[in-house]
Amino acid sequence: MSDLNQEELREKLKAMISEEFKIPMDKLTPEATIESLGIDSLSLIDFIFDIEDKLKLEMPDSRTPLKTLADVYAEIEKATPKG
Amino acid sequence: MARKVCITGLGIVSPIGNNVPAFLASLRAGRSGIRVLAGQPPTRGMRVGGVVDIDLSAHVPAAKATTMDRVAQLAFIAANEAITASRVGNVPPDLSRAGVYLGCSIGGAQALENAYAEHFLRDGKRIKPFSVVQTMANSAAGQIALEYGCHGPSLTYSNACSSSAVSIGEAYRAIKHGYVDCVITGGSEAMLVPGIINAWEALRTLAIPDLSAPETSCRPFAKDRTGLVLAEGAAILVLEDWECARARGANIIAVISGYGANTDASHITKPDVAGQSMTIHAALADAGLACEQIGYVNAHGTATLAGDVVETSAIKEVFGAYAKSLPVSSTKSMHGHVMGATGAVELVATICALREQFLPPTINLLQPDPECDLDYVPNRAREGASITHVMSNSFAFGGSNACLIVSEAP
Repeated sequence: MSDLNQEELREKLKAMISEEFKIPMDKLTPEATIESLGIDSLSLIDFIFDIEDKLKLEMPDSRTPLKTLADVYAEIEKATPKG
Repeated sequence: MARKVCITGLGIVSPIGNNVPAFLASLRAGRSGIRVLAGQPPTRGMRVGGVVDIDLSAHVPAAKATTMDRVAQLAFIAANEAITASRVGNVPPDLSRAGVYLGCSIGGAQALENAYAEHFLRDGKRIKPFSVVQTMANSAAGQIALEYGCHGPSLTYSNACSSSAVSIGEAYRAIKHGYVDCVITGGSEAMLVPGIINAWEALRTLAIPDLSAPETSCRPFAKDRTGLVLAEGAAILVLEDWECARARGANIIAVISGYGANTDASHITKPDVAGQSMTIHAALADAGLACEQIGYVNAHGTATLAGDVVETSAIKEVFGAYAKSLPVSSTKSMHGHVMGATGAVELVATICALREQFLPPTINLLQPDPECDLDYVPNRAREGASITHVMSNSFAFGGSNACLIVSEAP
């Protein structure tokens, strides 16, 4: 985990998703599905890789299906600080 | 029963023009698109290439571009021009059943090199998730099918320098024999990346750049030729069954009347007179034409020392005494060798010649070679030609040869 608490991290991720995929913040509820938001699955993985670089995190190798934003948050919360 | 196959759309993105009118204007003016390559780490001095000068982001929506290497984006842009042209008529072509047959020799070269750089030079953990879909050789065909909703077969032919001549020939056969009514065909290549250029340099077939006039570095059939110049680009044709095209009131540009393909099986790189002449004979037989009916040949003409002599011999073997009065030119002198796309680029040049009744030149032919003694339309385009049937040759490493014949629509 980064030095942000869970709530701060989620807010930061939400803002980054909103900017990256041009989706209004109010649509980015935890229950919203990636598909309903119109986010391509490969683009999402690309985004998560960028998150790792920007927040200096390292995520474990995983095959967990990322269906909702909550899944994405949970996946990123598994990460450990890099280095 | 064999069906007649016509061309109803053309599109091109090339070092000498990013649409058909611009490409045609360059052919007429004898304009070279070959220049010094920027940003290349020179191993042995300057490098030259035929570069496409285009702002891809102005033509390909950002969301789509992230899934495409340059090679697919060039094809995407050329396809847009060709398909837009094909929509002229009372009814547009039914693309939902269309096939997509493309040629490409390498695939997504930049994406592949980026992935290798990440893997070997950095920590290897940040290979982009799109690397595979950008690199795969059939990415351009898949992307075009996706864009236009084409549910027919999508096939990618990778036959080095004859890839897109073969893709067009096979598309022609698929329509001729009734497997499909419409095919988006052609080819794309974008391989001007350092690792690939370095590999080509090692083959000792690249032209030695002319330091004082880089744009003249490609000199097919000239005594002072030193080799080929790598280039990038894409050319796309829409082929349709003649009856379907007529029924929908399409603008018929020309007819594909003959195709021949074979393999030398004599050497992996060395061109072969027998193999080349056999493929030209096969195309003539398929078209049902006598050799004297061909009014212009767009040669493979790479400007390698051996290749130009062998092709000259093959043309003489097929055309006999008529060879001396047959105009033959290599437009590679202007656009360079577009590898997997070169057959398609040159077929578009050949179709331009037929439609506009002119002969595109072989530029940079200032020093004739006694071993290359045909009429190569040296240096200046010839206007006022009277041609009905025209031919384009493509000969590749691996010994894969192809020849296409295009005729005026009756």
